[in-house]
Amino acid sequence: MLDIESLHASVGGTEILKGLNLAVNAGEVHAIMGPNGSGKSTLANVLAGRDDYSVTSGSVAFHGKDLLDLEPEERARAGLFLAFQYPVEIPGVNNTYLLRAALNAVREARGEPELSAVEFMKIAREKMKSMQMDPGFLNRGVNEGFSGGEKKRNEVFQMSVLEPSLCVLDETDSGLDIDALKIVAEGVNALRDPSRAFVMVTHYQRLLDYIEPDFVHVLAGGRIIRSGDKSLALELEARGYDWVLEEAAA
Amino acid sequence: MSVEQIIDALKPVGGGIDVSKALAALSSHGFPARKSERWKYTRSEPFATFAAASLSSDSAHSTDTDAILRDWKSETDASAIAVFVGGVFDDQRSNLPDGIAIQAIDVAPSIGSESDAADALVWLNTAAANGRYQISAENIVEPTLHCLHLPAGEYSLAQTRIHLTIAPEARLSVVDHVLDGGVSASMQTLITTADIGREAQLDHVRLQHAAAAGLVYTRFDADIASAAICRTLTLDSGGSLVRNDLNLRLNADCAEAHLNGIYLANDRQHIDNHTQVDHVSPNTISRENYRGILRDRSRSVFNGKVLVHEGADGTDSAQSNATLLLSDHAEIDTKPELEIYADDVKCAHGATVGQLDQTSLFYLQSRGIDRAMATQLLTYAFCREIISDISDDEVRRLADSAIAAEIPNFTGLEAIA
Repeated sequence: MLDIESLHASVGGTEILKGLNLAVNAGEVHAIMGPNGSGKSTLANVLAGRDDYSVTSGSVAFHGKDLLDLEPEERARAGLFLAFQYPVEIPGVNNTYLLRAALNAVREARGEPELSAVEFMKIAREKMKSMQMDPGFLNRGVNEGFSGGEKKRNEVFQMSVLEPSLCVLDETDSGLDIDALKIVAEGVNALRDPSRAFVMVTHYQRLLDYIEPDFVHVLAGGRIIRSGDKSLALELEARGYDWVLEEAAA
Repeated sequence: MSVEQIIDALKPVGGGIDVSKALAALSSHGFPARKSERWKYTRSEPFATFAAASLSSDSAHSTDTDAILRDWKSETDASAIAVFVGGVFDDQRSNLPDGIAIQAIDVAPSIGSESDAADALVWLNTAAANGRYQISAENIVEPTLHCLHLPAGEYSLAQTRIHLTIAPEARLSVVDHVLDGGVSASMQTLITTADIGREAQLDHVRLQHAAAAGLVYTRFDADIASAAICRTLTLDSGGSLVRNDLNLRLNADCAEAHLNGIYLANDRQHIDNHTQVDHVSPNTISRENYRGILRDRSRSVFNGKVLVHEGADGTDSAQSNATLLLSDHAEIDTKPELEIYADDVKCAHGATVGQLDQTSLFYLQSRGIDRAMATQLLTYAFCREIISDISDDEVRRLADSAIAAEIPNFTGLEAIA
């Protein structure tokens, strides 16, 4: 589904990703871990097409298409979803409107008919309930006045409505208390499906107690320096990152 | 010379003592020059030239008032309407709310200076208003009174003076619609003075969409008594040269003023908002929030003066002005001006100028919204905040439409939060 080859990317002239390779197949959950500043969030943002990041070389294929050639909105319509580390508050733009416009844009790209307001509300209410969100949120501005935890829940809620084929989660666990973390993890787990893949960027092993990954990768210095299964995450939790970095340097 | 032409045209008309005084002031001081601090960024000559030309010629009445009214009414369910054509109140075409009368008066309360040329447009209005009226609210007036101001014809000058008296504990809501009246060029001056009694409330909204080559001068001066509230919204989208002077005086304990403004300019439009809030008495409150979107080679001026008088302790004032510059050639000159002669006051102010927030843009795009639509949504949302707490649904809807109409190809009205 996703093939990243020798990806180099920089921000403001500083190279952050330095030849990253990663292959993700449908049905898989990949966790990307690594020390601060290793390029985890850069990877998530580059995949979603944020224009502060420039790709200097390498390629990313998504469903066989050149992902890097697409605008952010085209990537979303092609089935890629980025759950933001810091979801943006947009007062004045209604949550319901944004989500319905987003869903209809995705549906149009999939060749499905547009949903009426009534049909949309039915889906939205159902999914909100499973995310234990206050239905009143729908009538507010996008993320307006939401707490950190509510914003993260809203991201996963949006994801569950849009049903993307590739979910990229950027530090979705950061700033969540344990109850909120469980709700978010349940939301993600409910979306696990043989046709869907996840790339989860996280600093802590904690999230992986609730969302079990198929693969764990250590990102350091802009490259994946070690890959393994979920036991690697436990080992990192117990021993920190230094030993991996040392082994990679050796 | 424009001023001499104006005097020559007006002298034979005559009038009361206020008219002679205004003519004398105009004759000795003329229109403000660039060195006048209050007119530093805005040219007054176009007003003088237009007025001189218009006053010394007979412009034909060409406005099809009935057709314009029909169109206007088809877009709204506003029921209380006062029509002013060429500055003159048209009783026949109006439908006033219960308890409201619009009475012609000979002399309007005087405002401004008699020697500072910065007030030349006030003198012009005083000397040559087409109509002077008094509107009194004795109790809670419903519904909102929509005043429609139309020019009488192409290249015409329309001048109106309105004095509002809001009795203690009374309430009035007025919307001034400054319309183009189907002409391409006109000049309109609209001066409103208001006396707001103890515990009374006045909501004053002005939706200005004058002719594309229109000149607009408005002035709103209010005296606000104890525990009374004055809320203003100035929304400018029309006209080529627009100057609004807004002066609110908080004269007694716990008086409150809320000043909101939106300016939406493109091409070479020039919109100038000068506001002044006088905190005369202790424990008075003012909140001011002006936002604008400038495109093309448009230019805007914001000057927000807050004057806290001696003894006005416990003053609580906040002011904010934010402008989006959507073109490299657009320009805003923004200036907060605080003069404080009391202790124990809270006065906050802030001005920002910038482009759309790139992270918000990316967020919307990452949800499948294309960039053009995302840009429109954010532009719209930027102004939307100002009008979201207008309590009259129809007034809010009209203000909404006025904003949406200024965003090219905007179809996202349902996006309102």
